[in-house]
Amino acid sequence: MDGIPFRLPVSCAGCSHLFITQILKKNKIKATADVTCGLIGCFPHMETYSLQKCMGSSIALAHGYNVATDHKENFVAMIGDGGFWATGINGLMNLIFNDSQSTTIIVDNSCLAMTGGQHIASSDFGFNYKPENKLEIAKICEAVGVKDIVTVDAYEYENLEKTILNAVNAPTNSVVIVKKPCVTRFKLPKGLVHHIDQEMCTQCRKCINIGCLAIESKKTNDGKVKIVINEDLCVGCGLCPTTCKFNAIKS
Amino acid sequence: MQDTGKNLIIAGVGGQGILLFSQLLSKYYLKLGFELKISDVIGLGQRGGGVESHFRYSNKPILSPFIKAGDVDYLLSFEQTETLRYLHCLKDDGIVFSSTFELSTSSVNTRLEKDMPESKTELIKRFGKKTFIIDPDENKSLDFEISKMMNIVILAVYAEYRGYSHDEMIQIVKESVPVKFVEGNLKAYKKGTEIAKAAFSKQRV
Repeated sequence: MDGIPFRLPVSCAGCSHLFITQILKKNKIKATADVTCGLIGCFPHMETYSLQKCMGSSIALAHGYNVATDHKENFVAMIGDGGFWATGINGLMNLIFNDSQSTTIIVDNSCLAMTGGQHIASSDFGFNYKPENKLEIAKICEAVGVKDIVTVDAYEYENLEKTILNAVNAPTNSVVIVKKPCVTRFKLPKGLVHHIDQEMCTQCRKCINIGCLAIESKKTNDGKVKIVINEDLCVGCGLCPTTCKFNAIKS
Repeated sequence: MQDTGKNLIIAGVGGQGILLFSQLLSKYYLKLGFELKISDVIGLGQRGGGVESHFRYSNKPILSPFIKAGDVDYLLSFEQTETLRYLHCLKDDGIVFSSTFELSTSSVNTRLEKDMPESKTELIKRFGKKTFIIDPDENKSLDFEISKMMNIVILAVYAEYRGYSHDEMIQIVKESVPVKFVEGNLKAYKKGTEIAKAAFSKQRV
């Protein structure tokens, strides 16, 4: 049968990557993605990242772009914690050695989320897990020689936005570590589920372009289109209300 | 006639319990002494993608874990867009069990693609195969959440259609489902048998 609509991947509801893609898109910051859940942001429905290659490449790619453009625009690298431990750390070392001014966003979600939540060097579980052997991303970055390291919680939207903008505008190399355990792997407790007030909604579709799995546009029986939030999927992270200009999304 | 084996495709979207469904069915067929091959395609199921499970049982050894297009006896689907995707795989006398639940696709949400103009339920009915449609909104119940337990409802409908022993199925559900969900799932199973009986009596008349 022809014309069956395709399912593009979208991030899980409440994922920390959604906050980062939203901030980068809003402030028109160019960025590279790595092999993480965040690479969903490369797809045309989100269009946050302009470049994505193999695992661990994003930091080196961003640095290369910054060298080529003479550091005129700060190209930001986004990398997940799994990619960082795998090969991303080499790019970071290279960046420090060559005195770059790049900004790197490391998304720390305590597991390899894209492949199903396996353990990594900085997670709190695993086959040979011992608390004393656990590695800290911030400490490793410090040891490598990063000058400016900030750790933020992903759900503090305003704080996160301020931190990323500060880091991008700073004249030194910097790392922003965005902390939030993976929503799907660790099954975090739900917050207040949001809903859309249909009388106030003007269908501008700003919230749909976040790329959250819970926000859907549904055809009703009389043929009208309605934007709704799926109650089963919403975890109440509070990202969509920040995009709505008409205050139609309520908890 | 003795059952020598059938091919099933179980389809839906992430989180609907497709893998649990094929696990439950596999336990049943193993008890009957059949050979089994199951292949699950999960992919980006957690992130809004489709999930499909190729389920083959036979009394002879099975060589391939995948079912070739046009060789499917039963299509059990928990989502109607996914039903449409696999309709062409059915045999001429293949049978469809489909839920009318629909998770809107992300490409339509963001207007990259247009949605199909016709009603998907009508398209499934018009495809020309023997079809059983199960509407979760019509069969809503306060006892259990039908949106989460559609898999058990369809399991009951399938078991009723094939004439399998409900007692044994219920026993398998009890053994395999986490303790706190057992009660809800058993209610869902009972509802499923009621739906099935109503639907099949209509067909025969």
